[in-house]
Amino acid sequence: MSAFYRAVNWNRQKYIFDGLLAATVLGYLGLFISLSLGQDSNATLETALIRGLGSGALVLLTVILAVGPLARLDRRFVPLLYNRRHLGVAMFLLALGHASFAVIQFHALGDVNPVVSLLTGGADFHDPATFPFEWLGLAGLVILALMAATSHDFWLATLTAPVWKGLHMLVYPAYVVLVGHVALGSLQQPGPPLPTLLLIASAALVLGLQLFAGWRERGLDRQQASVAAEGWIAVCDASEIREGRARMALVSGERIAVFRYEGRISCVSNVCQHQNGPLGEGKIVDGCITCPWHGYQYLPDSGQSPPPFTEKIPTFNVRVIEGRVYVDPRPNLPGTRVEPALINPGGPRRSA
Amino acid sequence: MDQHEDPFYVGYQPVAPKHLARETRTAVLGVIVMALGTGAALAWSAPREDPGVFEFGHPRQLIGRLQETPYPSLLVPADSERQRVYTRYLLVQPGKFGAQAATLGLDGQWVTVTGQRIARPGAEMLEITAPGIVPATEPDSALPQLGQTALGRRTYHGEVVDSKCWLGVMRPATGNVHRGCAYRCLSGGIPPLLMTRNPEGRTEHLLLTDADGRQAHQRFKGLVGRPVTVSGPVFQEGDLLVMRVEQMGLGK
Repeated sequence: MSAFYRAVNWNRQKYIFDGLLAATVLGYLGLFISLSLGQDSNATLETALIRGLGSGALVLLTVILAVGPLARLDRRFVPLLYNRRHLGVAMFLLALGHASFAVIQFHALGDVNPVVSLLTGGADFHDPATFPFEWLGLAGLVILALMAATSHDFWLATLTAPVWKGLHMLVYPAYVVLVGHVALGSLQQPGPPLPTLLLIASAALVLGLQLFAGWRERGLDRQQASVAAEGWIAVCDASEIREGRARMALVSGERIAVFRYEGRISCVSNVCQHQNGPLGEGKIVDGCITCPWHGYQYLPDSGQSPPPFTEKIPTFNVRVIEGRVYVDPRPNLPGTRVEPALINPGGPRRSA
Repeated sequence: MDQHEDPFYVGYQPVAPKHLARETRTAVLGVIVMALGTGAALAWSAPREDPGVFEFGHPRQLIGRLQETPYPSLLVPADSERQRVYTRYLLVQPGKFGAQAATLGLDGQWVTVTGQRIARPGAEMLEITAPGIVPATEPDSALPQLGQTALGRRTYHGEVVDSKCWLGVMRPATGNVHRGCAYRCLSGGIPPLLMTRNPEGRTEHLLLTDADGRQAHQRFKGLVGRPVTVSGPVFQEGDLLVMRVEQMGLGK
């Protein structure tokens, strides 16, 4: 976390991440272009470049969309979320390069403006083989541009989290139109079926991972919200929560995170104010609930970010009776302090 | 509980727990290998392109007799008796423009044309570059009178393409991915060809005109990038087949 904005808060891990990303992207383009030109003496550099940039962007977009659910299913992918926006900006630059070279190659140096040519050049919606697939690519590129331009936390704070999150959820419509762009464009050309199979496999991977991660979380929600007593929700035994970690539950339709730390129990909303990250999958670090996605922190008893930060999340009243954790399902206003429940009221209590 | 038992890491921390870092490295390596493998498979499975030549940056000068109709051409006498009587070079301008404006009023005149050669087996084109077209002296051995041989009315299935890209400037030069470019080229006056395949699977091409033998690039631009059927009388002009299209429609 940082209390002020910089273009990029560089650290060693970011250098490694971006260096690896740049090397992979350049390696992809180099491999693609050299194979394209090496296997076919009639292939041209500009076409190989357009194809390499476009396919590279779609492969990277597939990775970006897969990382989210993968991180929910496998902790090895969680560290990739922290710099996922770097993947997004790199993907946009690849897509922009693809679009720019394609417009120059196919529409420049003609009798009308290249953009006019792109939008009007013999469009025909009646046949998949002649559908103006370029329009789909342009729509996807516009969405990717909006997302790349607003990827910085400055825009998250300026636009507010709900608006920013809504804007960046457009990545899914963008993915759909870009798959359509490829399906109605290059896949209409005669050739082996492998590219079609790879596109289907990538779409199935993205869809399958999203559905599987959602299905697993819905199963947990149903399991944990089933017990209630006197208006309070019995979540679990305190002993079931690991020290410094949380147990998530669904109360009144909202996910909560019940944290155990230093002999106490506190309960907050599971949704991080930053990018809706799952706080219940985070950990108490330096006395603060720490989001696993980007490390935003909140005090467990008040839901407030430690000064000078100003983020606040709702808290919930909580009590422990005979080792059982109960939560009042009515949320308190964001930032409201709630006295933590002691797991063992008569026992020794560790100091903070 | 130590980090090995309960690893947790966010990106602003200087160092990741070793156990988690090792696991993540493995996952990242797997993602990179899959991405590069996908790229290699896509490049390897790309369809093979047609042969073609575009001598970009290497202009040559040719002397010949200019012919304005149906599309601007330069007829260059053969320099050897073993060759055909002349070679026809379709003429185009740089970019997506035909050479109609550059050749206006020069029909039948001997000229020197500077340009970059575009060619594929059986067809030649010249993209005019500076200094362009200048008058030339008629050689002693003038071209014989060039005539047309009527081959009768025929029907062909194929695809309308712009001759400049198809002969060698661009690959691929057919299909939906190239449709926008072909549309723009025909709109700018590039001669339209019908690309068709003979029973042996080899590609052939015919120059397309309207039913009266006049230029018709604007008429054909809406048909590019898709299967078409065209019918009309076909004429042989040297080694060039020309169809005066009387009927045309989408599909086979």
